[in-house]
Amino acid sequence: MSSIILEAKSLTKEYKQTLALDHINLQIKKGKIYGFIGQNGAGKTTFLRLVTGLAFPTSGTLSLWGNSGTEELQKQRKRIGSMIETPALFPSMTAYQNMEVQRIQRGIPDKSVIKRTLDMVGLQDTGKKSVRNFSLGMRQRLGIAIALLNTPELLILDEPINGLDPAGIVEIRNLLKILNKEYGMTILVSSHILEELYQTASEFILIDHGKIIEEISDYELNERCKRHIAIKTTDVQKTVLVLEENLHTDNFKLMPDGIIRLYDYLNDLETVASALAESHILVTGLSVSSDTLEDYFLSKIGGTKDVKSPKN
Amino acid sequence: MSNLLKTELYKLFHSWYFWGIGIFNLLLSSILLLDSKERSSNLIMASLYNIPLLYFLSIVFIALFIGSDFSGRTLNTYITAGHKRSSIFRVKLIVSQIGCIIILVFPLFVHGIISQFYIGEKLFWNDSTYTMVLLTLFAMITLCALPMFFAFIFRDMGKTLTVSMVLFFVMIFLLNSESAQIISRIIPMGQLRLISLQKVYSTNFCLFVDLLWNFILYFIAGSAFLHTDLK
Repeated sequence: MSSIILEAKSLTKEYKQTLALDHINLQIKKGKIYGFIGQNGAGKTTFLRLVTGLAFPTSGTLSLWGNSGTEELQKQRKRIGSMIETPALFPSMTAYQNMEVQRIQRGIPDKSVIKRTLDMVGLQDTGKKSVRNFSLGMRQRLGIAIALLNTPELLILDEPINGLDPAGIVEIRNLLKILNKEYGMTILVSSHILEELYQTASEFILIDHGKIIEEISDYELNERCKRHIAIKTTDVQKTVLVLEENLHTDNFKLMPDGIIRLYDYLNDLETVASALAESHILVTGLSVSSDTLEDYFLSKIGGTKDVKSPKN
Repeated sequence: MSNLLKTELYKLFHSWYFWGIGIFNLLLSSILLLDSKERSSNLIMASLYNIPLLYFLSIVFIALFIGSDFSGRTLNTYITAGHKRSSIFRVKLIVSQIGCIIILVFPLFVHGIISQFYIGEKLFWNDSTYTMVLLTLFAMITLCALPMFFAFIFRDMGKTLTVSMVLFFVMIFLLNSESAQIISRIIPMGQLRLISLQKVYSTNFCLFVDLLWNFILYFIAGSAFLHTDLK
Protein backbone atom coordinates (compact mmCIF):
# COMPACT_ATOMS: atom_id res chain seq x y z
CA MET A 1 0.00 0.00 0.00
CA SER A 2 1.30 3.44 -0.95
CA SER A 3 2.60 5.64 1.83
CA ILE A 4 1.47 8.76 -0.01
CA ILE A 5 -1.54 10.26 1.71
CA LEU A 6 -1.90 13.47 -0.22
CA GLU A 7 -0.62 14.33 -3.65
CA ALA A 8 -0.98 17.56 -5.56
CA LYS A 9 -0.09 17.66 -9.23
CA SER A 10 0.25 21.05 -10.87
CA LEU A 11 -2.39 22.38 -8.49
CA THR A 12 -3.31 25.95 -9.34
CA LYS A 13 -5.70 28.37 -7.73
CA GLU A 14 -6.38 31.69 -9.32
CA TYR A 15 -8.56 34.42 -7.89
CA LYS A 16 -9.73 37.37 -9.98
CA GLN A 17 -6.40 39.12 -10.15
CA THR A 18 -4.17 36.92 -8.03
CA LEU A 19 -2.43 33.65 -8.64
CA ALA A 20 -2.66 32.18 -5.14
CA LEU A 21 -1.18 28.78 -6.04
CA ASP A 22 1.03 28.33 -9.03
CA HIS A 23 1.27 24.72 -10.28
CA ILE A 24 2.01 23.14 -6.93
CA ASN A 25 3.47 19.63 -6.92
CA LEU A 26 3.56 18.07 -3.50
CA GLN A 27 3.43 14.74 -1.70
CA ILE A 28 2.54 14.15 1.93
CA LYS A 29 3.67 10.80 3.24
CA LYS A 30 2.17 8.74 6.01
CA GLY A 31 3.39 9.05 9.59
CA LYS A 32 5.31 12.31 9.34
CA ILE A 33 4.81 15.77 10.77
CA TYR A 34 5.00 18.39 8.05
CA GLY A 35 5.69 22.03 8.75
CA PHE A 36 4.17 24.32 6.16
CA ILE A 37 6.16 27.54 6.06
CA GLY A 38 5.38 30.71 4.21
CA GLN A 39 4.73 34.41 4.56
CA ASN A 40 1.26 35.94 4.79
CA GLY A 41 -0.37 35.45 1.40
CA ALA A 42 2.18 32.86 0.29
CA GLY A 43 -0.60 30.35 -0.42
CA LYS A 44 -0.50 28.11 2.67
CA THR A 45 -4.13 28.53 3.68
CA THR A 46 -5.30 28.43 0.05
CA PHE A 47 -3.62 25.06 -0.34
CA LEU A 48 -5.19 23.75 2.88
CA ARG A 49 -8.60 25.03 1.78
CA LEU A 50 -8.28 23.12 -1.48
CA VAL A 51 -7.32 19.96 0.38
CA THR A 52 -10.27 20.25 2.76
CA GLY A 53 -12.76 21.04 -0.02
CA LEU A 54 -13.60 24.59 1.02
CA ALA A 55 -12.34 25.94 -2.29
CA PHE A 56 -12.07 24.54 -5.79
CA PRO A 57 -8.81 24.42 -7.77
CA THR A 58 -8.57 26.34 -11.03
CA SER A 59 -6.52 23.53 -12.56
CA GLY A 60 -4.40 20.57 -11.57
CA THR A 61 -5.28 17.48 -9.59
CA LEU A 62 -5.44 16.59 -5.96
CA SER A 63 -5.57 13.07 -4.63
CA LEU A 64 -6.12 11.75 -1.12
CA TRP A 65 -5.00 8.19 -0.36
CA GLY A 66 -4.65 7.67 -4.09
CA ASN A 67 -8.19 8.80 -4.89
CA SER A 68 -9.07 11.83 -6.95
CA GLY A 69 -12.31 13.17 -8.39
CA THR A 70 -14.97 15.13 -6.53
CA GLU A 71 -16.93 12.19 -5.11
CA GLU A 72 -13.87 10.23 -4.07
CA LEU A 73 -12.19 13.20 -2.45
CA GLN A 74 -15.34 13.83 -0.42
CA LYS A 75 -15.28 10.28 0.89
CA GLN A 76 -11.60 10.44 1.76
CA ARG A 77 -12.05 13.70 3.65
CA LYS A 78 -13.84 11.75 6.37
CA ARG A 79 -10.33 10.53 7.31
CA ILE A 80 -9.10 14.09 7.83
CA GLY A 81 -9.37 16.33 10.87
CA SER A 82 -8.74 19.99 10.30
CA MET A 83 -8.74 23.46 11.70
CA ILE A 84 -8.36 26.10 9.01
CA GLU A 85 -7.60 29.67 10.11
CA THR A 86 -9.97 30.26 13.03
CA PRO A 87 -11.76 27.53 14.99
CA ALA A 88 -15.35 27.01 13.77
CA LEU A 89 -17.35 27.26 16.98
CA PHE A 90 -20.88 28.02 18.14
CA PRO A 91 -20.40 30.87 20.63
CA SER A 92 -23.63 30.33 22.55
CA MET A 93 -22.92 26.65 23.15
CA THR A 94 -20.59 25.06 25.70
CA ALA A 95 -17.42 23.20 24.74
CA TYR A 96 -19.26 19.90 25.23
CA GLN A 97 -22.19 20.99 23.03
CA ASN A 98 -19.80 22.16 20.32
CA MET A 99 -18.16 18.75 20.40
CA GLU A 100 -21.57 17.05 20.42
CA VAL A 101 -22.53 18.87 17.20
CA GLN A 102 -19.37 17.58 15.56
CA ARG A 103 -19.83 14.08 16.97
CA ILE A 104 -23.35 13.82 15.53
CA GLN A 105 -22.39 15.17 12.11
CA ARG A 106 -19.45 12.77 11.87
CA GLY A 107 -21.68 9.88 12.96
CA ILE A 108 -19.47 8.84 15.88
CA PRO A 109 -21.64 6.60 18.11
CA ASP A 110 -19.45 6.69 21.22
CA LYS A 111 -20.25 9.78 23.31
CA SER A 112 -17.26 9.23 25.61
CA VAL A 113 -14.98 10.37 22.80
CA ILE A 114 -15.98 13.96 23.65
CA LYS A 115 -14.69 13.81 27.21
CA ARG A 116 -11.51 12.01 26.14
CA THR A 117 -10.75 14.62 23.49
CA LEU A 118 -11.52 17.55 25.80
CA ASP A 119 -9.18 15.99 28.38
CA MET A 120 -6.50 15.72 25.72
CA VAL A 121 -6.50 19.49 25.06
CA GLY A 122 -7.00 20.50 28.68
CA LEU A 123 -10.60 21.70 28.44
CA GLN A 124 -12.18 19.13 30.75
CA ASP A 125 -13.23 21.68 33.38
CA THR A 126 -15.09 24.26 31.31
CA GLY A 127 -18.52 22.99 32.43
CA LYS A 128 -21.45 25.19 31.41
CA LYS A 129 -19.30 28.12 30.36
CA SER A 130 -20.33 29.16 26.86
CA VAL A 131 -17.66 29.46 24.19
CA ARG A 132 -18.27 33.20 23.84
CA ASN A 133 -16.67 33.57 27.27
CA PHE A 134 -13.61 31.52 26.33
CA SER A 135 -10.19 33.11 25.94
CA LEU A 136 -8.51 33.02 22.52
CA GLY A 137 -6.29 30.17 23.69
CA MET A 138 -9.25 28.13 24.94
CA ARG A 139 -11.04 28.58 21.62
CA GLN A 140 -7.91 27.45 19.83
CA ARG A 141 -7.73 24.34 22.01
CA LEU A 142 -11.39 23.58 21.34
CA GLY A 143 -10.75 23.97 17.60
CA ILE A 144 -7.94 21.44 17.89
CA ALA A 145 -10.18 19.12 19.93
CA ILE A 146 -12.82 19.24 17.17
CA ALA A 147 -10.17 18.38 14.60
CA LEU A 148 -9.11 15.40 16.73
CA LEU A 149 -12.62 14.12 17.48
CA ASN A 150 -12.63 11.46 14.75
CA THR A 151 -9.02 10.37 15.47
CA PRO A 152 -8.05 11.38 11.93
CA GLU A 153 -5.37 9.74 9.85
CA LEU A 154 -4.36 13.16 8.53
CA LEU A 155 -4.52 16.14 10.85
CA ILE A 156 -4.37 19.57 9.22
CA LEU A 157 -3.82 22.55 11.49
CA ASP A 158 -3.52 26.08 10.21
CA GLU A 159 -1.76 28.33 12.73
CA PRO A 160 -2.78 26.14 15.70
CA ILE A 161 -0.77 27.95 18.34
CA ASN A 162 -2.21 31.41 17.67
CA GLY A 163 -3.30 32.90 20.96
CA LEU A 164 -1.83 30.16 23.13
CA ASP A 165 0.32 31.04 26.12
CA PRO A 166 3.85 29.56 26.37
CA ALA A 167 2.65 26.64 28.49
CA GLY A 168 -0.17 25.99 26.00
CA ILE A 169 2.28 26.02 23.10
CA VAL A 170 4.41 23.37 24.80
CA GLU A 171 1.31 21.27 25.57
CA ILE A 172 0.12 21.38 21.95
CA ARG A 173 3.60 20.61 20.67
CA ASN A 174 3.81 17.57 22.95
CA LEU A 175 0.28 16.54 22.00
CA LEU A 176 1.13 16.60 18.28
CA LYS A 177 4.23 14.52 18.90
CA ILE A 178 2.24 11.98 20.92
CA LEU A 179 -0.48 11.77 18.27
CA ASN A 180 2.16 11.21 15.64
CA LYS A 181 4.09 8.64 17.64
CA GLU A 182 1.30 6.67 19.30
CA TYR A 183 -1.46 6.88 16.70
CA GLY A 184 0.77 7.16 13.63
CA MET A 185 -1.14 10.29 12.72
CA THR A 186 0.20 12.28 9.78
CA ILE A 187 0.19 15.95 10.64
CA LEU A 188 0.38 19.02 8.42
CA VAL A 189 0.91 22.21 10.44
CA SER A 190 1.28 25.70 9.10
CA SER A 191 2.66 28.42 11.28
CA HIS A 192 4.40 31.75 11.26
CA ILE A 193 6.33 30.84 14.36
CA LEU A 194 9.13 29.02 12.68
CA GLU A 195 11.04 28.14 15.82
CA GLU A 196 7.95 26.29 17.02
CA LEU A 197 7.67 24.36 13.77
CA TYR A 198 11.36 23.55 13.95
CA GLN A 199 10.76 21.79 17.26
CA THR A 200 7.69 19.89 16.04
CA ALA A 201 8.01 18.95 12.38
CA SER A 202 10.12 16.27 10.75
CA GLU A 203 9.60 17.60 7.22
CA PHE A 204 9.38 21.18 6.01
CA ILE A 205 7.60 22.60 2.99
CA LEU A 206 8.61 26.13 2.06
CA ILE A 207 6.10 28.08 0.01
CA ASP A 208 6.40 31.57 -1.42
CA HIS A 209 4.21 33.49 -3.86
CA GLY A 210 2.13 30.39 -4.49
CA LYS A 211 5.08 28.17 -5.36
CA ILE A 212 6.74 25.42 -3.39
CA ILE A 213 10.31 26.60 -3.14
CA GLU A 214 11.65 23.65 -1.23
CA GLU A 215 10.75 20.42 0.55
CA ILE A 216 13.33 19.47 3.10
CA SER A 217 13.65 16.99 5.96
CA ASP A 218 14.80 18.01 9.43
CA TYR A 219 18.08 16.13 8.80
CA GLU A 220 18.71 17.99 5.55
CA LEU A 221 17.75 21.26 7.18
CA ASN A 222 20.22 20.73 10.00
CA GLU A 223 22.88 20.02 7.40
CA ARG A 224 22.06 23.20 5.52
CA CYS A 225 21.78 25.34 8.59
CA LYS A 226 25.40 24.51 9.14
CA ARG A 227 28.00 26.59 10.86
CA HIS A 228 29.35 29.61 9.07
CA ILE A 229 31.33 32.78 9.63
CA ALA A 230 29.01 35.78 9.79
CA ILE A 231 30.82 38.81 8.38
CA LYS A 232 29.44 42.29 8.79
CA THR A 233 31.31 45.12 7.09
CA THR A 234 30.69 48.67 5.91
CA ASP A 235 31.42 47.74 2.28
CA VAL A 236 29.67 44.57 1.21
CA GLN A 237 30.72 44.69 -2.45
CA LYS A 238 34.39 45.07 -1.65
CA THR A 239 34.15 42.26 0.93
CA VAL A 240 32.66 39.92 -1.65
CA LEU A 241 35.52 40.80 -4.00
CA VAL A 242 38.11 40.05 -1.29
CA LEU A 243 36.53 36.68 -0.53
CA GLU A 244 36.59 35.70 -4.19
CA GLU A 245 39.99 37.08 -5.15
CA ASN A 246 42.07 36.95 -2.00
CA LEU A 247 40.55 33.96 -0.18
CA HIS A 248 39.63 32.11 -3.42
CA THR A 249 36.19 31.00 -2.26
CA ASP A 250 32.67 31.36 -3.58
CA ASN A 251 31.16 29.29 -0.78
CA PHE A 252 29.39 32.22 0.84
CA LYS A 253 25.95 33.76 0.82
CA LEU A 254 24.87 37.39 0.99
CA MET A 255 21.88 37.74 3.31
CA PRO A 256 19.08 40.31 2.95
CA ASP A 257 20.34 42.14 6.06
CA GLY A 258 23.79 42.67 4.46
CA ILE A 259 25.59 40.00 6.45
CA ILE A 260 27.82 37.65 4.46
CA ARG A 261 27.81 34.01 5.47
CA LEU A 262 31.08 32.29 4.70
CA TYR A 263 31.01 28.51 4.85
CA ASP A 264 34.80 28.04 4.42
CA TYR A 265 37.62 28.98 6.82
CA LEU A 266 35.48 27.98 9.80
CA ASN A 267 38.54 27.10 11.84
CA ASP A 268 40.63 29.94 10.48
CA LEU A 269 38.92 33.12 11.51
CA GLU A 270 42.24 35.01 11.65
CA THR A 271 42.93 34.51 7.92
CA VAL A 272 39.55 36.00 7.06
CA ALA A 273 40.07 38.90 9.46
CA SER A 274 43.52 39.72 8.16
CA ALA A 275 42.46 39.46 4.48
CA LEU A 276 39.71 42.02 5.14
CA ALA A 277 42.03 44.24 7.15
CA GLU A 278 44.70 44.19 4.42
CA SER A 279 42.06 45.41 1.95
CA HIS A 280 41.20 48.28 4.32
CA ILE A 281 37.64 47.05 4.94
CA LEU A 282 36.08 48.14 8.20
CA VAL A 283 34.76 44.97 9.86
CA THR A 284 31.92 45.60 12.31
CA GLY A 285 31.16 41.97 13.06
CA LEU A 286 32.95 38.67 12.63
CA SER A 287 31.80 35.52 14.37
CA VAL A 288 31.13 31.83 13.87
CA SER A 289 27.43 30.96 14.11
CA SER A 290 24.78 28.71 12.62
CA ASP A 291 21.37 29.23 10.92
CA THR A 292 17.97 28.81 12.45
CA LEU A 293 14.97 27.66 10.41
CA GLU A 294 13.97 31.30 10.23
CA ASP A 295 17.34 32.31 8.78
CA TYR A 296 17.16 29.47 6.33
CA PHE A 297 13.67 30.44 5.20
CA LEU A 298 14.67 34.07 4.80
CA SER A 299 17.69 33.11 2.77
CA LYS A 300 15.44 31.05 0.52
CA ILE A 301 12.86 33.72 -0.13
CA GLY A 302 15.36 36.55 -0.10
CA GLY A 303 13.39 38.92 2.09
CA THR A 304 12.33 39.69 5.61
CA LYS A 305 8.84 41.05 5.29
CA ASP A 306 6.02 39.54 7.33
CA VAL A 307 7.98 36.75 8.92
CA LYS A 308 7.81 36.92 12.69
CA SER A 309 10.73 35.98 14.82
CA PRO A 310 9.87 33.99 17.94
CA LYS A 311 12.06 36.41 19.86
CA ASN A 312 9.96 39.42 18.84
CA MET B 1 -27.40 13.01 5.19
CA SER B 2 -29.20 11.64 8.27
CA ASN B 3 -26.25 12.67 10.44
CA LEU B 4 -26.46 16.18 9.02
CA LEU B 5 -30.19 16.27 9.66
CA LYS B 6 -29.72 15.19 13.27
CA THR B 7 -26.96 17.77 13.71
CA GLU B 8 -29.02 20.62 12.33
CA LEU B 9 -32.02 19.66 14.46
CA TYR B 10 -29.73 19.52 17.51
CA LYS B 11 -28.46 23.00 16.64
CA LEU B 12 -31.98 24.29 16.07
CA PHE B 13 -33.38 23.11 19.38
CA HIS B 14 -30.26 24.21 21.28
CA SER B 15 -30.28 27.71 19.85
CA TRP B 16 -31.54 30.45 22.15
CA TYR B 17 -32.74 32.60 19.25
CA PHE B 18 -35.11 29.92 17.95
CA TRP B 19 -36.97 29.79 21.28
CA GLY B 20 -36.59 33.52 21.85
CA ILE B 21 -37.99 34.49 18.46
CA GLY B 22 -40.78 31.89 18.80
CA ILE B 23 -41.96 33.26 22.13
CA PHE B 24 -41.58 36.88 21.02
CA ASN B 25 -43.63 36.06 17.90
CA LEU B 26 -46.43 34.65 20.05
CA LEU B 27 -46.47 37.73 22.27
CA LEU B 28 -46.41 40.15 19.36
CA SER B 29 -49.04 38.19 17.46
CA SER B 30 -51.30 38.18 20.53
CA ILE B 31 -50.98 41.95 20.88
CA LEU B 32 -51.75 42.44 17.18
CA LEU B 33 -54.91 40.35 17.59
CA LEU B 34 -56.52 43.35 19.25
CA ASP B 35 -56.46 45.02 15.86
CA SER B 36 -56.88 42.12 13.44
CA LYS B 37 -59.73 40.40 15.30
CA GLU B 38 -62.18 42.98 13.96
CA ARG B 39 -61.17 42.30 10.35
CA SER B 40 -61.46 38.51 10.48
CA SER B 41 -64.15 35.91 11.01
CA ASN B 42 -62.45 34.11 13.91
CA LEU B 43 -59.32 34.10 16.07
CA ILE B 44 -57.33 31.76 13.80
CA MET B 45 -58.00 33.95 10.77
CA ALA B 46 -57.09 37.00 12.83
CA SER B 47 -53.84 35.33 13.81
CA LEU B 48 -53.19 34.35 10.17
CA TYR B 49 -53.84 37.97 9.15
CA ASN B 50 -50.87 39.02 11.29
CA ILE B 51 -48.35 36.59 9.81
CA PRO B 52 -47.20 38.90 7.00
CA LEU B 53 -46.42 41.58 9.59
CA LEU B 54 -44.53 39.11 11.79
CA TYR B 55 -42.60 37.72 8.86
CA PHE B 56 -39.63 39.92 9.82
CA LEU B 57 -39.00 37.58 12.76
CA SER B 58 -38.44 34.71 10.32
CA ILE B 59 -35.95 36.89 8.51
CA VAL B 60 -34.07 37.44 11.78
CA PHE B 61 -34.16 33.71 12.47
CA ILE B 62 -32.82 32.75 9.02
CA ALA B 63 -30.10 35.40 9.20
CA LEU B 64 -28.98 33.94 12.52
CA PHE B 65 -29.44 30.28 11.62
CA ILE B 66 -27.83 30.26 8.17
CA GLY B 67 -25.93 33.57 8.05
CA SER B 68 -24.05 32.93 11.28
CA ASP B 69 -23.10 29.46 10.03
CA PHE B 70 -21.35 31.13 7.14
CA SER B 71 -19.79 34.02 9.05
CA GLY B 72 -18.70 31.74 11.91
CA ARG B 73 -17.46 29.19 9.36
CA THR B 74 -19.32 26.44 11.21
CA LEU B 75 -20.86 25.26 7.94
CA ASN B 76 -17.31 24.62 6.71
CA THR B 77 -16.93 21.76 9.20
CA TYR B 78 -19.54 19.76 7.26
CA ILE B 79 -17.52 20.13 4.08
CA THR B 80 -14.19 19.36 5.70
CA ALA B 81 -15.81 16.28 7.25
CA GLY B 82 -16.59 14.98 3.77
CA HIS B 83 -20.30 15.74 3.40
CA LYS B 84 -21.62 16.56 -0.06
CA ARG B 85 -22.43 20.21 -0.61
CA SER B 86 -25.77 19.22 -2.12
CA SER B 87 -26.67 17.29 1.07
CA ILE B 88 -25.59 20.21 3.24
CA PHE B 89 -27.74 22.57 1.16
CA ARG B 90 -30.77 20.31 1.31
CA VAL B 91 -30.51 19.70 5.05
CA LYS B 92 -29.97 23.36 5.78
CA LEU B 93 -33.11 24.23 3.80
CA ILE B 94 -35.22 21.53 5.42
CA VAL B 95 -34.27 22.43 8.98
CA SER B 96 -34.45 26.19 8.35
CA GLN B 97 -37.93 25.70 6.91
CA ILE B 98 -38.92 23.61 9.93
CA GLY B 99 -37.66 26.35 12.23
CA CYS B 100 -39.42 29.08 10.24
CA ILE B 101 -42.71 27.22 10.03
CA ILE B 102 -42.67 26.44 13.76
CA ILE B 103 -42.03 30.10 14.55
CA LEU B 104 -44.80 31.32 12.23
CA VAL B 105 -47.31 28.58 13.11
CA PHE B 106 -46.79 28.70 16.87
CA PRO B 107 -49.16 31.70 17.44
CA LEU B 108 -51.71 30.15 15.04
CA PHE B 109 -51.60 26.95 17.06
CA VAL B 110 -51.94 28.68 20.44
CA HIS B 111 -54.66 31.03 19.20
CA GLY B 112 -56.42 28.06 17.58
CA ILE B 113 -56.54 26.23 20.91
CA ILE B 114 -57.84 29.35 22.66
CA SER B 115 -60.45 29.90 19.97
CA GLN B 116 -61.67 26.27 20.10
CA PHE B 117 -61.65 25.59 23.80
CA TYR B 118 -62.03 28.94 25.55
CA ILE B 119 -63.96 31.18 23.14
CA GLY B 120 -65.97 28.38 21.60
CA GLU B 121 -65.40 29.30 17.95
CA LYS B 122 -65.84 26.29 15.73
CA LEU B 123 -63.50 25.52 12.85
CA PHE B 124 -65.10 23.02 10.53
CA TRP B 125 -62.63 20.62 8.96
CA ASN B 126 -63.86 20.26 5.40
CA ASP B 127 -62.18 20.41 1.98
CA SER B 128 -61.88 24.17 1.99
CA THR B 129 -60.21 24.08 5.42
CA TYR B 130 -57.63 21.59 4.17
CA THR B 131 -57.06 23.72 1.08
CA MET B 132 -56.58 26.75 3.28
CA VAL B 133 -54.02 24.89 5.45
CA LEU B 134 -52.17 23.71 2.33
CA LEU B 135 -52.12 27.18 0.82
CA THR B 136 -50.98 28.69 4.12
CA LEU B 137 -48.18 26.17 4.41
CA PHE B 138 -46.98 26.76 0.85
CA ALA B 139 -47.14 30.51 1.25
CA MET B 140 -45.13 30.31 4.48
CA ILE B 141 -42.51 28.03 2.87
CA THR B 142 -42.19 30.49 0.00
CA LEU B 143 -41.97 33.45 2.37
CA CYS B 144 -39.09 31.79 4.21
CA ALA B 145 -37.36 30.92 0.94
CA LEU B 146 -36.52 34.57 0.34
CA PRO B 147 -34.17 35.16 3.33
CA MET B 148 -32.71 31.67 2.77
CA PHE B 149 -31.92 32.66 -0.81
CA PHE B 150 -30.08 35.77 0.39
CA ALA B 151 -28.31 33.82 3.14
CA PHE B 152 -26.81 31.43 0.56
CA ILE B 153 -26.05 34.20 -1.91
CA PHE B 154 -24.38 36.62 0.53
CA ARG B 155 -23.11 34.01 3.00
CA ASP B 156 -23.19 36.69 5.65
CA MET B 157 -25.55 37.44 8.53
CA GLY B 158 -25.62 41.24 8.20
CA LYS B 159 -26.26 41.39 4.46
CA THR B 160 -28.93 38.67 4.66
CA LEU B 161 -30.73 40.57 7.38
CA THR B 162 -30.47 43.98 5.72
CA VAL B 163 -31.54 43.02 2.21
CA SER B 164 -34.36 40.76 3.40
CA MET B 165 -35.68 43.46 5.74
CA VAL B 166 -35.62 46.05 2.97
CA LEU B 167 -37.64 43.69 0.79
CA PHE B 168 -40.00 43.02 3.68
CA PHE B 169 -40.80 46.73 3.93
CA VAL B 170 -41.09 47.01 0.13
CA MET B 171 -43.62 44.15 0.15
CA ILE B 172 -45.59 45.76 2.98
CA PHE B 173 -45.57 49.00 1.02
CA LEU B 174 -46.75 47.26 -2.16
CA LEU B 175 -49.56 45.50 -0.30
CA ASN B 176 -50.83 48.89 0.77
CA SER B 177 -50.53 50.42 -2.69
CA GLU B 178 -53.19 50.83 -5.35
CA SER B 179 -52.13 47.67 -7.14
CA ALA B 180 -52.36 45.58 -3.98
CA GLN B 181 -55.03 43.33 -5.52
CA ILE B 182 -52.73 42.09 -8.26
CA ILE B 183 -49.53 42.06 -6.22
CA SER B 184 -51.06 40.08 -3.38
CA ARG B 185 -51.67 37.19 -5.81
CA ILE B 186 -48.04 36.91 -6.89
CA ILE B 187 -46.21 37.40 -3.63
CA PRO B 188 -46.65 34.90 -0.78
CA MET B 189 -47.06 37.66 1.79
CA GLY B 190 -50.10 38.89 -0.13
CA GLN B 191 -51.43 35.37 -0.53
CA LEU B 192 -51.43 34.93 3.24
CA ARG B 193 -53.40 38.14 3.58
CA LEU B 194 -55.91 36.88 0.97
CA ILE B 195 -56.22 33.53 2.76
CA SER B 196 -56.93 35.22 6.09
CA LEU B 197 -59.61 37.40 4.44
CA GLN B 198 -60.92 34.31 2.58
CA LYS B 199 -60.48 36.06 -0.75
CA VAL B 200 -58.20 33.60 -2.55
CA TYR B 201 -58.57 34.08 -6.28
CA SER B 202 -57.42 30.65 -7.46
CA THR B 203 -55.89 27.86 -5.38
CA ASN B 204 -54.02 26.39 -8.33
CA PHE B 205 -52.63 29.74 -9.33
CA CYS B 206 -51.39 30.41 -5.80
CA LEU B 207 -49.73 27.00 -5.58
CA PHE B 208 -48.18 27.45 -9.02
CA VAL B 209 -46.77 30.87 -8.08
CA ASP B 210 -45.36 29.52 -4.81
CA LEU B 211 -43.74 26.54 -6.53
CA LEU B 212 -42.27 28.81 -9.16
CA TRP B 213 -40.82 31.15 -6.52
CA ASN B 214 -39.35 28.20 -4.61
CA PHE B 215 -37.85 26.68 -7.72
CA ILE B 216 -36.22 29.93 -8.87
CA LEU B 217 -34.87 30.93 -5.46
CA TYR B 218 -33.57 27.51 -4.47
CA PHE B 219 -32.12 26.78 -7.89
CA ILE B 220 -30.05 29.97 -7.87
CA ALA B 221 -29.06 29.64 -4.20
CA GLY B 222 -28.15 25.96 -4.61
CA SER B 223 -26.11 26.55 -7.75
CA ALA B 224 -24.21 29.35 -6.02
CA PHE B 225 -23.48 27.26 -2.94
CA LEU B 226 -22.37 24.19 -4.89
CA HIS B 227 -19.76 26.07 -6.86
CA THR B 228 -18.52 28.80 -4.56
CA ASP B 229 -15.32 28.92 -2.55
CA LEU B 230 -16.07 29.34 1.13
CA LYS B 231 -14.18 31.67 3.46
